[in-house]
Amino acid sequence: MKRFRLSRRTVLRGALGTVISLPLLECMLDGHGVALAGGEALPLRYLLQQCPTSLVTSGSREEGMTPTRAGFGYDVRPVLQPLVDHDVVADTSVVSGLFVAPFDAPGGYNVDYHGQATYAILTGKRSGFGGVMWRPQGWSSDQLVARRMAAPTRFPSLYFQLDPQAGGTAISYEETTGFSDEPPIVYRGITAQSSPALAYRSLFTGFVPPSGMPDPEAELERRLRVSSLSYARDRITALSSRVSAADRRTLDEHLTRVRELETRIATTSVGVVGASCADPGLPGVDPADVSTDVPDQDRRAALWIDLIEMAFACDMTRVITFGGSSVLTGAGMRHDRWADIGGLHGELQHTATQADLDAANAFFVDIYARLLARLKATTEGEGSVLDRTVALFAMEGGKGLTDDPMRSGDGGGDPNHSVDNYVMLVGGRAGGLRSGQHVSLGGRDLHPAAVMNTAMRAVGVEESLGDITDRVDELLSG
Amino acid sequence: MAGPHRLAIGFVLALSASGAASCVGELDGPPVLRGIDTTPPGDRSTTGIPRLSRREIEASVRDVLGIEGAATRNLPADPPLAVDPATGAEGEVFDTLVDTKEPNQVFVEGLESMAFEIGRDFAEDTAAVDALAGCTPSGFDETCLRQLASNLGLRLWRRPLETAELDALMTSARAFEGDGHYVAVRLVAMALIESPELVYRTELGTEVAPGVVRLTNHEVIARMAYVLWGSTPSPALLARASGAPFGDEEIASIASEMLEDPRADAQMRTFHRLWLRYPSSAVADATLHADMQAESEALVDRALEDDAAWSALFDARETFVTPALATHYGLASPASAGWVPYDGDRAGILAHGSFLSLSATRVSETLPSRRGAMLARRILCETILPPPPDVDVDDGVEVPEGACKSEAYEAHRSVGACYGCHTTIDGLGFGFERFDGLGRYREVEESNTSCTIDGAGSYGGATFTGPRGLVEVAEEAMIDCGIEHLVRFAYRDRALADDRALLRRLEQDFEGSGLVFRELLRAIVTDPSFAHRIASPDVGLAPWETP
Repeated sequence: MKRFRLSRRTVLRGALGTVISLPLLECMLDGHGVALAGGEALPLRYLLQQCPTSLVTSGSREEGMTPTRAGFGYDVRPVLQPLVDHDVVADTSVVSGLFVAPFDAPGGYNVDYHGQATYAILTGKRSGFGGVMWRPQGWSSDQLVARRMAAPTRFPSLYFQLDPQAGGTAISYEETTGFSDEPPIVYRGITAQSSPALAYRSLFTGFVPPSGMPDPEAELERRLRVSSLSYARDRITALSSRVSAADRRTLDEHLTRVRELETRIATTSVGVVGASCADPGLPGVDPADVSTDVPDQDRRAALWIDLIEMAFACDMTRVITFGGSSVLTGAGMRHDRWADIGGLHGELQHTATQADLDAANAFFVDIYARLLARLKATTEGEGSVLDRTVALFAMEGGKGLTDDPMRSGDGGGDPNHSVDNYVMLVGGRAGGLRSGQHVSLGGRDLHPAAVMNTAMRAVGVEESLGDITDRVDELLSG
Repeated sequence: MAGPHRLAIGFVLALSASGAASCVGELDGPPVLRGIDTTPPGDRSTTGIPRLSRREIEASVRDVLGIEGAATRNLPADPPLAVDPATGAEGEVFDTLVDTKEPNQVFVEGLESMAFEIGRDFAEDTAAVDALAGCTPSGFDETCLRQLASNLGLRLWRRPLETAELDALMTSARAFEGDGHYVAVRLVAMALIESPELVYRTELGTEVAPGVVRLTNHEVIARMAYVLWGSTPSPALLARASGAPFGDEEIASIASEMLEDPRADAQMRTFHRLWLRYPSSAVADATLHADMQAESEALVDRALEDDAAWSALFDARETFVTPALATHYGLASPASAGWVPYDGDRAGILAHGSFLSLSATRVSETLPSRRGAMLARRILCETILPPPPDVDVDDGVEVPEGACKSEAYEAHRSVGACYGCHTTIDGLGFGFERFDGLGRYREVEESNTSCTIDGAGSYGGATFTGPRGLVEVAEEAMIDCGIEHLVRFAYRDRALADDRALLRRLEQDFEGSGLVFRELLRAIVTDPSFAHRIASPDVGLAPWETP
């Protein structure tokens, strides 16, 4: 069967004044289905999922995640069992033996395990040794990738959060201008979207499926939205001229967000890659709690998986960050599986049994595995979306095995509060990733940012994260 | 009432509830005095564009358009916790606090989504649209549309739209002439809702002294409405705002009218829920949870009655229980839900299971330090600094096998650097130790029944036992603390809660009223400072202040 080819340029010319993005239709692929007809490669994606736990409870020195055998065909420990259940072991590598120095060293942190250590992990920068002590000191890898990719997608990046709890501390950081009492350049956390329903509206309002016909009602809605935002933009500008400098800064930020939204809505077409792109049809409201203050985390996770799959499949973004909880530690995060214990941090990680923590960690790995399985089943050209994705799974902490504060932090007294023996998962096959192996780095003291550097290279970003220039060469072929 | 005894114990505390070794060397020297009365006034300037909370936007849309749920569905929740820049401590905050309201992507997208939803639903009810406009359009009727924009804008923006603002809106609306009148109505509603004037309560006013702004009538009315009702002003109030600048008498008259409105009662309950947090009780049993909520709501309602002293919230000697809850507490069981006398050391809301569960862990077990810190912060307004960053407060004090909890905590306090902090927070916590995390009375420790609990606590140099005992030694401090929290809630800004002169004026008025809570609200909105805003950090004494 002869394949119909349509160039992207032709599509753009046909838009007749309507600003549209650069949709990638299946019919635009080359004869091999691995690149666009014009020779441009299919998009690469970067996914970072964060799990707000460490490997061990306070009273334990054993954990159920790290394989004992290195290399391909590693043994799957209980926490990683979901990788087997969802048939993605061969698509997922485990990197163990990572280390973040709890002292002044490249990518090290000072004294605060919960805050500064996480900033150090996610930015590769020294954290807590100067400047603004309790802030990230650099880009997080996802935001760096989004900036460097500069993809022509509706969203440069998306940041979602599983648990609906508001506030807390972000895991995605961007560079911004400091307030008057701050340095000129500071890094701040981005606010996560914790409502699947709202994220769905943001992504799919006005969506036209690949085979769909133009919808006059959708076009009217688009006009209404653009026009009302335009009026609001002018109102913000007018008000800005009448307020103090500090208030003007607030309104400027508001204005920036309005402009971005207006541009996204005006850019009517949704990028489409392959026939798998479809409206996931999420409900208009978020799932109800299963009991008092216990969210339906399983249902929420399923909705986020649906959304992330289609955000990638429809090329709405190429960078997604998926946090577990609004608090780095998972404090206060409840699930009916551990509701009788309490919150995820103080109660579950510190006073519960190791088996309880392993089960909680397996819950997060299960979400990751289901996500990978979904991307694997999502066809794109002659492969899958997972073939062109790197999916990282990063935790809050590892396990401290010694009482040496120079290795375990927190005075060495709590194996839970340590970023020694840190483990990451690397899924997907973007950029020739050699998946399905256990890379044991014990003794090399490589920083988790080395894994992120490798992941960034896999999606074409040849840059180092923060102070860390290492990569984990075993993960990449050639 | 300004309890000097409380000021004298207003230590800056550093909370550490971790293992004893963690405290060593972390805090050198004695705790630092807060120095409330000697600290020069700091920056009391506040924003001129305080943003409404999600709850307030929801109420405003409901009151103006009769549409419910749009804000709750579309806007992100206001963070319940925030870092206090003055102390670095993360603590509970009211949803009104302006510091927590960044106009980030999630909020702006949610606002746009909310506007779209409201515009669609509003325009569908053409009869309601025409009623608000005061005209019936024939075809695309720009005159009628302009009338609608003017009337709707007044309600949503809480001030009349200027001619140029209406002109610009009509220019936008004309682009939908071919789509029909009510499509243009959608545009008008969406544009007004997405504009900053809805979500930001503009307080630009007129400068009446260097750095001091006198609010316009509309701004005063709006400020009063969100303090007293948690919602937007009524059309009648907005009409009153169109006249000459309000004098004190007119403001007092308006306050009286607003305080008689049922929305004022609802707002008073909202404040108590947000302050005391009893709806967040961690009691897992749904029936027990509901019974405890009803118990707390009943007491709050009683404390808010105009012929009652609000101090009943803390010192009530009876409680509202179902038979099941009475049995749970070990109180005399009524035939049906009703008030029964307390026994022993119980008193007021501090003895409710809904409150006592807030600092529990593993449902019923207690962490005395954590509970003491909660009491210190929430009920006594003590400033407690965060623990040193390398102190792990997650585990609580380790109780060795076979040891009693009180002994372990005592040993912990004996470690030099831990002494200052734990003496205060443990003193409060152990005074409540005879009540478990579900509010049940006990005399032996749950995990070691050979250990008796004496229930002895201390605060400010006085000893006490149980909620009743704490009320006896610190009720004035509790009342003052309630006022301080209300100021935070009403003024949306942390800085003003440190305005001691304002607090003293309110304390005097409240005491003069016989502790009628409605009169405390009246005192806030009729205070000479209320119709003003300090717009510059350089202001010394404001016009209403005396040296």
